[in-house]
Amino acid sequence: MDQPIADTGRWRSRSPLVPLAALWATLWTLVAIIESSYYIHSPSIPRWQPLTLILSSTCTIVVWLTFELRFARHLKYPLDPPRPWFLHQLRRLPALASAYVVIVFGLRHAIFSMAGGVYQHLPWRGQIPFELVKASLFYCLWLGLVYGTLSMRESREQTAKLGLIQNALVESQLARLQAQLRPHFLFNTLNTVSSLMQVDIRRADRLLTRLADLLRASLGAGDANIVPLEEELRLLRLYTEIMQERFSGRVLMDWQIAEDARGVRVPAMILQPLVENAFQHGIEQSTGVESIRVAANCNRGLLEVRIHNTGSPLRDGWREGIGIGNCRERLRLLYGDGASIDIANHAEGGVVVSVSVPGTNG
Amino acid sequence: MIRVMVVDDEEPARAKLRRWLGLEPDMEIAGEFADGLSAASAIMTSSPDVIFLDIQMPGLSGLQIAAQLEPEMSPLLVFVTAYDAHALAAFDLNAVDYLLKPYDEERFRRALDRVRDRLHAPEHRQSAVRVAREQTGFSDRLLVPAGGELRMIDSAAIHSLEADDNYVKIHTADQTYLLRRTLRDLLQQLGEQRFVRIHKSAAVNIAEIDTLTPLFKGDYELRLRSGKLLRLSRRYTSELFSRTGR
Repeated sequence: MDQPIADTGRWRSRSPLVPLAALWATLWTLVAIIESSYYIHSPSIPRWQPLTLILSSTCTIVVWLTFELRFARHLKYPLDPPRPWFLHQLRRLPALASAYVVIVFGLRHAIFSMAGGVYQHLPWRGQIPFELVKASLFYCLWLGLVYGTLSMRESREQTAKLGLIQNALVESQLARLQAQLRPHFLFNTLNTVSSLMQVDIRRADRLLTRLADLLRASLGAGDANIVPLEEELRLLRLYTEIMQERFSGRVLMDWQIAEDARGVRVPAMILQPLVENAFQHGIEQSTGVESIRVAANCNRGLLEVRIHNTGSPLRDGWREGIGIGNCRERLRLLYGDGASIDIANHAEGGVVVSVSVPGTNG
Repeated sequence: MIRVMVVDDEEPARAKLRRWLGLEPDMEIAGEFADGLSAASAIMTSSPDVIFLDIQMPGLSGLQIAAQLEPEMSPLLVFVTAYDAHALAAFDLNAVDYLLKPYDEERFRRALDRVRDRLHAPEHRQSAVRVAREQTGFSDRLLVPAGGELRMIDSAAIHSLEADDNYVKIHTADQTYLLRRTLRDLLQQLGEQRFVRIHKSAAVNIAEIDTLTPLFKGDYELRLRSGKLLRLSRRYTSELFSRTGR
C-alpha cells in the first residue's frame, strides 16, 4: 500500500536530485569507458557497434529512471525502516528487468539491421539470464542511490519541521502565559477580590483561590502538553467562574460535555483562548445578559468542541486575532490537516467557534 | 455637594467605588453606568462634577468617552484602569488623575483629595480630554444629541460643519445636529485630514467637495456633492488647495 510521506510538490523540487543524477551519470560513463576500452583493441569490429551496445542500454536505463523519478509514487513509501522500502521497490524488479531486456535487444537488433549488420550475441538461453542479472544489479545500485538521496532529504525536512514545532511550542507557552496572565484579567480579578472582601469574605476567598489555581495550572501546563479534555475543562471552569464573578449576573455558562469526550486527549490550553475570545467579544462588548455554551462530542474518531456565545455577530471584514491564530498554528503542527477551527455566526444569534481534533482516548 | 458619576462595566468594581464614596460626607453619587454609550448620554444631560471612568468598556471605552467631551466644559475625570501602559505614561506626563486596580482605601482617599483640590482648576479637565484624544486618535465617530438621546454618527457621513454661537451645526446628508462645542475644538477632535475650513465659521468634508468657481476678490463658490453652495473665503483658499492637491 502506498503511503505518501511528503506532498508531491516537494518531491518534484529538483535540487536534491542533481547529485543523484550526477552520480548516476558518472557510473555510466565509467561503464562506457571500460567497455569501449575492451572493444577498441579489436580492429575487426567497427567502432559504431560497441557504441550502439553501450548507448542503447544507457539510454534505455536513463529514460526509464527519469520516468521513475518524475512519475513514480512508489518511491514515496516510508523510508524508515529501510527493508520494507527496498522490498516494496523490488516487487517491480521482474517486470522492469524483462521490459529492459526486450527494449534493449529490440533496439540493438533494429539499429544493426538498419546499418546492414547482424547483432551477434550469446544464444538467448544464456544471454537473457545474463542480461536480467545485469539489469537487476544496476537496479539495486540505483535503489541504493535513491534511498540515500531520499533519506537525506527527509532527515533535513524533519530537522526543519522539528525546529518549527519547537518554536511554536515556545511561542505558545509564551502566548499562554500572556493570555493567562494578561494584565487586564489579572488586575481586574484582583480588583473584584478587593471589592468582594469588603462584603463577603468567603466569596472573595473562593475567587482568590480560583485565580491561584488558574495561575498555577498555566505555569505548570508546559510539563504535560497533551491533556485529557476533562483536565482542560477543569481549567476552563476556573476561568469562567472568575469571569462570571467579575461580570456578576451578566454571563450564563452552559456545559454540554458528552461522556465519551471527557477522556479524549487534547493540546493543553487549546480551548482557553477561544473561551476568552467569547468573553471578550461576546460578553464584554454587550450590555445585556449573555450566555456561553461549551459543548463537546465525539464523532467518528473526531472530537468536536463548540463554543457558542450569544453576543453580537461577527462584523463584516472582521479579522482573526492572535489568540485564535496561535491555536490554529498549534493544531496544524500537531495534526496537519486532521484538525480545524471554524468561526461563524450562529443561526440563532451570536458566534460559534468549532474546534475539531482527532480523538484518541487514553 | 460634589456630584460623582461611576462608570465601569464590572459590578464589583462599581460596588467598591459606591461603598467608599458613600463614606464621604461631601460626595454624592450622580449615577452609575456599565457601558460607554449610556455613560456619555448621562454626562451630557446631567453634567456631573467628577467621573470615575473605567477605560476598558463595551461600546465606547473610557478614553473614547473622554475624547468626545468639550475640554473647557468637561467634568473632572479620574480614569480607573487595570493596566494600560500607554495611557498611564501619558496621564503621568500631563498630571491626569487615575486609579490603578486594585487600589486600597488610602489610595482612593488620596485621589479624592486631589479631586477636591482640582475641582475649580479647569486646566486639569482640559488636559484629561486632550490626552484621551491623543490616545484614541482622531475620532471616526462622533456622539451627537438627537431628540432625547445620543446618537453615534460616522465622521465620514458629515458633509459640513457650521459654527453658530456656542454651538456647531453638523450637517449630514439628511440631518442637522446641534452640538455645544467650538468649531476649532471639534475640528481638532475629528482630525484635520478629513475636514478643511472654508471660512472663519465653517468647514467641509474634503471628500464631499464637488466644484469650485472663482468669485470676486479671490473668493470662490464651493459646491458640495449634495448640491449645497458655500463660500470659500480667500484666507482659506491656499490651505484648501494644498490639501486637495489643486
